[in-house]
Amino acid sequence: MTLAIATHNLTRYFDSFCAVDNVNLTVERGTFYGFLGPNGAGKSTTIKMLTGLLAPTRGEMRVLGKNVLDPKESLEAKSRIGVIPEDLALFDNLTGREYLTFIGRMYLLPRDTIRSRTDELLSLMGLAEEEKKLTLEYSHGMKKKLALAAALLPNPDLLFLDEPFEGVDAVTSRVIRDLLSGYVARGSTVFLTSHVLEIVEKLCTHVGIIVKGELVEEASLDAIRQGSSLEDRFLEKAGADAEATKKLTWLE
Amino acid sequence: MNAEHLRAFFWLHWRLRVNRLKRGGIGNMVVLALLAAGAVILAGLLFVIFFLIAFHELGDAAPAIIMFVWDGLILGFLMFWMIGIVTDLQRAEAISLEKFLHLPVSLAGVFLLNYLSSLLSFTLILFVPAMAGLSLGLLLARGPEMLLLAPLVVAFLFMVTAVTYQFRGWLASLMVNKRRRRTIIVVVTMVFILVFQLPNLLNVFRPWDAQRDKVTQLSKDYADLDRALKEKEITWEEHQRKRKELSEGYKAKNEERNRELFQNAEWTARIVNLALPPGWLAWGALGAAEGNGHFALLAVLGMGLLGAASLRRAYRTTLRLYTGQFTAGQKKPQDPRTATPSDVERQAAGVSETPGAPPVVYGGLVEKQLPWMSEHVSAIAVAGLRSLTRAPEVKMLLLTPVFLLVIFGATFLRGSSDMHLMVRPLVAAGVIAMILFSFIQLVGNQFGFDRSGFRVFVLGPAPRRDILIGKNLAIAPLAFIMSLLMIVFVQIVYPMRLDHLVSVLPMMVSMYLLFCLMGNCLSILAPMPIAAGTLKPSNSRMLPILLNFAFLLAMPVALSPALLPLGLEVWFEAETLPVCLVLSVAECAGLVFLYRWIVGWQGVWLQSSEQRILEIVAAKAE
Repeated sequence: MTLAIATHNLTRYFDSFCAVDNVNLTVERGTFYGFLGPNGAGKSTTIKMLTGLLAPTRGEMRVLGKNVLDPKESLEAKSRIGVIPEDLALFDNLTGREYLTFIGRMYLLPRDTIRSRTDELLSLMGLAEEEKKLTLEYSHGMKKKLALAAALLPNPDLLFLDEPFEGVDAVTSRVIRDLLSGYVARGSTVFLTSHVLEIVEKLCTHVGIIVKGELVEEASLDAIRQGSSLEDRFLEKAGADAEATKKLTWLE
Repeated sequence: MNAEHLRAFFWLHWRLRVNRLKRGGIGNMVVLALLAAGAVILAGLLFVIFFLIAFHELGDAAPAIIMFVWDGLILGFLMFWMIGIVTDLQRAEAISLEKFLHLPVSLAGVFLLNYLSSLLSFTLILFVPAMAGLSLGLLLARGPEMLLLAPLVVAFLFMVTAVTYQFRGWLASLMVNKRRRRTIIVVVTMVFILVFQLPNLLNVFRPWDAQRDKVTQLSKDYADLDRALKEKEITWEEHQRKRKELSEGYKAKNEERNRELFQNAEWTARIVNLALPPGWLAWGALGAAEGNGHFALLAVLGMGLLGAASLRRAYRTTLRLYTGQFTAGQKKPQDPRTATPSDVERQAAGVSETPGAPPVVYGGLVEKQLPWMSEHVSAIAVAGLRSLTRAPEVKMLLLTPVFLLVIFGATFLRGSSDMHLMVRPLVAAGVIAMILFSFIQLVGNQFGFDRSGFRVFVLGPAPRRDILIGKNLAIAPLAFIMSLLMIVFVQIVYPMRLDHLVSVLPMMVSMYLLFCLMGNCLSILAPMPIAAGTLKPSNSRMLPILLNFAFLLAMPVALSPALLPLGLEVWFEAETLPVCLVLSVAECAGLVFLYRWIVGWQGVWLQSSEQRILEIVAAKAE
């Protein structure tokens, strides 16, 4: 079994608050992995650590077989992954095309490849008509689409997507879903977080559920559902209080 | 709008300020608390000082003197007030009214509250007591006619705050468009800076220099007398008598001239005060002191009307914003009834470009490859340059030579033309250092301007050494062009020897390399988040600010090795040989190797610190 991601006791503290607590992830290559959890559960913190945006307090991580805590190996891993971080990573003063060109050059792609892929991606994301606008002027959804285009541009082996469907219109959402399905079908790996459980249920082959920093479940989608819906299983694991609204007597 | 709303609104303002202070850290809070205490003490002191001046010195003074004192106070107030506006403009996002409009409060009420909260400013805390002290002192010293100063001061403050509020509202409405917002910030800041550099232009022309010429003439005449006495052409008594005559003649002319100057100044001030509304306070005070109370009443009325008109206009702007009449510079959708058939077809087909429009042109600046540089370095350098040349904060920096010319132009132009040849390259080096000095924020906080874009570097596979070289190269063209312009200016004023002029070029490169090495260290050690479109650090802590100060102090020492070739030429008294040129080129080549070696080490440092830097620079700016 070849692993795209493997962590051992991955932990992150913010002062005395433990955001991620001894998480042991195993994501096989070629899987579409959905990383679920309520708000503040530690999903984004985990992605940040896996992509090198945040240092763990302790623990080990291997991404595409590379130890990302080692400075040299981390650069090798980074050359093979694509990321949409939580707060995106755009330059205000570059246009969409300029930004993609810059990203392509950072991954040492030939000029012709950058141009052709940029054309395709801008067109696919519905940004072709906005390519002369500065990213500063983009709406949140447009920024998200540009960030996804940038993540796909170097044709990475592993994609980390933090809430990729948030703020994206239904048409583009469908395009992205089809694109990601095809991407996984040819053997690449996607690690995504999303609050939209229907999308996760449609796309993912494997699911991990993190609650209060702890990985409470990790298995294939079918194994987690156990005949029930993903939503029911997720709410059960996340410890949602179904009686909560009944406490607001003044709303009755 | 009711009292509860009012209380809630003031509580909100207070809470926002406290939270902002808390985020800045304890050091920041202590310093700001000290500053606030200092401001209150200073305000009290200003009250006492102006009261005492008015009570003891202005009781019997000519009315014109009272006008001048008020003019001085008004100028000081306006200067501080404008600095406050520029600072707020850089900090503020678009108009904040929309955050309240969904709440059950009236638009007029929110508008009024916003106006009242705009009065809570450092300038008013400082200057209102000073104005009150001056008014009270004049009232006690000169009598009840000075009671008119109270409505004058109130009307003046109302007018200034209302006009400012209208101005800010108008700018905010324009700034709904993000791209335009940044241009406005730059233009307004630039205009204010230039306006306040006008006194320096006066310094260039120096209208009072006739007086200095007279003093020089008197000294010459004294010297002639002394020489005549020494050569026994005149007796001691004659010498004393003539000296006395010269002195008295000079004194009489001087008094006459001073009287003329005062009369001219008074006449000019009266005209200016009458013509410009901010001067109506001083003009009204003059009227009250001369016993013409109706002048003061007219001034009160004028300022009151202007203030009221401004507030009314500001309210209408708010209404237009509220009703969505501002389009933020976006084109309104075309009316289907007036669209041509081809427009409709193109829209239906999802094609926006006109048929026959040129296809996308590739090969822009961001695709350029720099000679001898790796792909990563080239990509970072050209994308960085592209980004910098669009950033309004950098455009603001590019105005530095203009300001430097205005500020130091007088000194340059008035300097003696017989400056020693060996000193002239030193002046050129000083000018380059000054230009680099103006780039401290860009080079010493390179990642702060990337904001969330810095994630690209952390996520990317580029060696960190290449990131630093690319960043340094991105700024180099701007620094070099500005330095070259200033060198040309120095060459015109103080022509250098040809070999010295040429040697300034490698000297400039050497200085830039040293500057970058220091700037890289500071960027890694003390990054600061910068709000978009400004040069202003947001949420900065004390330590980075102190490190920046240390950097400023260390900069002259760090750049001094670049002057070594010139120093050696002077040391060996080899003024006829191009020693400086040869040594400058050699030193520059050596520094290029040193830079490449040190920057590799800095790259390792950057990689180990990049997550900490990201946490700081990507923090949401207020």
